[in-house]
Amino acid sequence: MEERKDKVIIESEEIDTIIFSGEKVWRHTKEEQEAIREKMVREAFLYHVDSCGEYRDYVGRKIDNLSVDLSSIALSDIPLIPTSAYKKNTLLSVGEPDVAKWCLSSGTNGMRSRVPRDKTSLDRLIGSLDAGSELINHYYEHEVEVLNLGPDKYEAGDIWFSYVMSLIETLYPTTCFINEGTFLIDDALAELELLEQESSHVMISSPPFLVMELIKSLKSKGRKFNFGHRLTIITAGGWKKRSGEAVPRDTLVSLCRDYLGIEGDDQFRDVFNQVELNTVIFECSEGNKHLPPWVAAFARSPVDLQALPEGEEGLMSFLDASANSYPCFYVGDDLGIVEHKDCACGVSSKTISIKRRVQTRDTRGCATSIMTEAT
Amino acid sequence: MEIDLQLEEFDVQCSIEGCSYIANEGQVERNNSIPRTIKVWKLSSDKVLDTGKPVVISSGFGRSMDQMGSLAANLAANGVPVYRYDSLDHAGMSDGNMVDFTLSTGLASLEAVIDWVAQRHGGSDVGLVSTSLTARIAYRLVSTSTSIAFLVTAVGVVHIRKTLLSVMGEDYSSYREEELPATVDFERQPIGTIGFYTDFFKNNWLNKEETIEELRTINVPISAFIANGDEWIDRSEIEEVIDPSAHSNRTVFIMEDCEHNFGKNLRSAEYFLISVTDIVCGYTLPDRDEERIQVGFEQILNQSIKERRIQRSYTKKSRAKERAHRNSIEEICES
Repeated sequence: MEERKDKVIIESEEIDTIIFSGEKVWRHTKEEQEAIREKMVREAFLYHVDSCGEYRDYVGRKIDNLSVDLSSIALSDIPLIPTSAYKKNTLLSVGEPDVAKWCLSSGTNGMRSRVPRDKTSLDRLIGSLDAGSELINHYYEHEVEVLNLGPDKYEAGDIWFSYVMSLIETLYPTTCFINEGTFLIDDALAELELLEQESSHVMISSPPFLVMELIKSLKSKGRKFNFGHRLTIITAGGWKKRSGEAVPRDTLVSLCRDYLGIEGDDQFRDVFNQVELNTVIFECSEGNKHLPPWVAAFARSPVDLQALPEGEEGLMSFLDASANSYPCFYVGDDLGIVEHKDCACGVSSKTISIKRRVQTRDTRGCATSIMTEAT
Repeated sequence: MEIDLQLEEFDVQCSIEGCSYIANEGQVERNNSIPRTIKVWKLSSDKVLDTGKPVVISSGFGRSMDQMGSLAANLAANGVPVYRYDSLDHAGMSDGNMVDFTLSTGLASLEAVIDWVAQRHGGSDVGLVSTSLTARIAYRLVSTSTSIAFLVTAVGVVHIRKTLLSVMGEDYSSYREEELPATVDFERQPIGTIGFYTDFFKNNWLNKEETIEELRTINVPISAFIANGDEWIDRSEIEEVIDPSAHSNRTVFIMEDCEHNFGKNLRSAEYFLISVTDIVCGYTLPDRDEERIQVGFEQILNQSIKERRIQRSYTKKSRAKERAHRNSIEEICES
């Protein structure tokens, strides 16, 4: 018979204490952030080398058959997986029955990435949404109404970008405006009509091209809203297959001022995520995308993938300690800059700035060559 | 594995004695002869047997019943019929608004639901899981009720005056009635003060000593979950009040690195959920030899969205009614 205890301690993993600390995520000093990053990312690296056979083999080929002490490797030297490897391989660090969701990229460039996420990884992803949203403002549920111009969770299916956007419904009261692939623009406008008369804060969560459609519709109807400070527009996912219609951010913000009545540029925020990354990275009021301390990012030389000094533009790579079910150490197709900023928003942290996607065959070639090594 | 979960909705009528509320003109006694409606949800699965002992989950202050959906889903999946409700004069779908909430209204709501559930299930043996402020209400009810078989509390308040001081930054119980502001904010929601504090004194909700006294008379098993980083409740006071070393049927669970809102840390919330599922199944299904079933992430998410949408649809309807009311008043004024 089990002995009765009058006191039981339920411990929490250190990384979870950090991820789920809400606004406190942004209060760590520069030194604390670096210490957390060093520890969490390195621990995650050792865990995935141990748990994911494919990654272990790959690391073995990159680092002299694992003869070196992996626990002392610099974060910038952790072997990176090209995003293309997630399209062809199954990189799994847990048993397959523990996979809660196979997440698919939107496949803008052809083949889709397929990333397995277990409950721990998905919980932590939601934690990153919660922490990131603190950069926008701290709202209680009853204070906010969200209009998700994308599909709801059921319609999003396994497509990662839509799925992540639909998760906002678990945090705030949300109405979605895609039904069987159709944007219900008149319904969205009717909801805005109602909300304009209410006192709650309104968030529009959307890919930029649907914000543009909303604006075009208002323009054609000759209708303008005047939400003032009561509206925040959160865009994500870029223009994807609609890149031909893309307008510069400043233009879109200006249109939102004219037709939705927002008053400040800080009411327009973009967030960054991709299917391989387990953390959603939010923009602050100054337009900077702040990196939480459990993620390391490096811009790398497209020639040899060496990490570049802070502030130099290169191929973006991420090492995300929050992913439990797959190794999240990858180099993608985006060109960008990583640099530390003592931001006027009050957060002092590493920031990322995505400039553009890799377009030329030469630059893509680098990723392709390491893909060959990875597969 | 997908579990087939069934959600049913019931209206439970409740007449509250001695309950009062503030109207625009001042304090007004409510007509107690008119019963008010408490919305109750029952969640069950095909694992639930007709003879299964039920559990009632009461949400914390300012939280509606959908927010305890994960625990309800896990218990139902393991064969426990689970009932949740929104208190009267509270957030959620039952009658009244939070601005009129008093602890005695919370007690009357909980009592009405426990009695109704006990009746549906042939008498006593109702389990109760209570969170935060409603745990204090639960201690009082359990000290007098014969229908409750065991109690689980999470970040349960034991010393209301002290907790309210931590939450509000002010001890309004030390104010004279005429000095009280009409409302104070809790998480930016207005709570009426005069009704709340009148009830507070009249029905002796004030101090820790009263809680200790009530706990003395409780014989059913108690499992109390404490967040060790709780900014609103002194951990040592919970341990003092529960006093597990002196009671063989009481256990304290300490959740490391958690704040009062421990559900915010989804990983800790999962350990809580597993522990509570084991405790509840241990009491309600003692002969069960199957392994514990844990509902998957996607199913929990689907259930949670479904329940949130029900609550949301209710809120939208209420707002539409208010809007129509507002508009008709404006029209009358204009004419």
